[in-house]
Amino acid sequence: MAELTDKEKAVYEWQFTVPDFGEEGQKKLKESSVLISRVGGLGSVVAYELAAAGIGKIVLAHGGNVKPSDLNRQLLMTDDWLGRPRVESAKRRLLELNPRLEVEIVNSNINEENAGELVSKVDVVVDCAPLFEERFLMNREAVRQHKPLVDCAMYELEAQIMTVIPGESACLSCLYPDWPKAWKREFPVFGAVSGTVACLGAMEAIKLIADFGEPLTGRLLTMNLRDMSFHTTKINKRNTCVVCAQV
Amino acid sequence: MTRFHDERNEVIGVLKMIMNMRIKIKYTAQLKKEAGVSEDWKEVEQGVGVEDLLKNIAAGHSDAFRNILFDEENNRRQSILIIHNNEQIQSEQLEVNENDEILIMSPIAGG
Repeated sequence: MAELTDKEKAVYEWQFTVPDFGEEGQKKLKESSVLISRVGGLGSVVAYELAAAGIGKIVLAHGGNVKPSDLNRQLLMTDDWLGRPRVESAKRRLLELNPRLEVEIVNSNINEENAGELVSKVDVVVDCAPLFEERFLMNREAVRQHKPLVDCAMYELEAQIMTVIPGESACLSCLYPDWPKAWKREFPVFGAVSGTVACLGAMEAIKLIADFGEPLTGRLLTMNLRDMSFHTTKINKRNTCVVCAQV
Repeated sequence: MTRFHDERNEVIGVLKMIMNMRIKIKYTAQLKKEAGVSEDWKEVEQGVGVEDLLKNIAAGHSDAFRNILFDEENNRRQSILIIHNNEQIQSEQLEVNENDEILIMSPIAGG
């Protein structure tokens, strides 16, 4: 297992004393990698928190350039980067925080051509995509390659998160067996909402990698930040699921 | 005989009122947006079918609301989550009690 440098011990010393985490957990983070789909309101904060926690490598996939309307929530984008590629801004900002981090960027969204290869490069996948095409692709590949998947979603002041352990728990296709045709990706949003569920997503990835605590395996945590209500619902694995039933 | 039938029907009507349960229906995300409210109350039979319940609910709302719940062939969309008292439903028949909560969740993605 990778050893920690004196600098790393100094940076992460406040994490070492988290019960069941310790230096061993920190080493596991250093040796591990995470794929994050999109670096928008969700993905930006997931990436930032993982970089802060000392993950070894992050792979980011998101096409397109920074727009003004991104800046209320996409915290890895800056005003001086308007019109320039999002993933480049994300890499720049992450390395400012953690220069030890390895960042691989793909200036493209997850698609049928790259999904398999990108998932194969990492230990954990965090799904932050706004379109179900990408989400189902990542779910399919994560299940096929037996990689844990943290599924983060949001709409206005509502959000939800669930963790998929292939072969053990419900996957995204168990949750949504048919195509959510009514979903529209444009909705009102505050950065504080995407940031909230993104931080939960980062913590899920950290727990999965360092093997402590209880991830939301097969449990859907929903929240409404309008009235601060939080609920957890057990989600059943479907024995007819076209993605995970045979896993 | 007419009086007998009238009294019988009156008794049946009273029994139906007794057996109907008043339950709270809650909506999320785009369903809530189309409904215009976050929750509603409904009188339903104790062993109400999920399909019947959703059709009953949809009847009081817009086409946009209905299209979230049902496809073009009037089949319930399986991506709609139905949660009964904080548990995902296991059956197409709901055994409800007075003041139970049914949460109907429309799918959401990222951002």
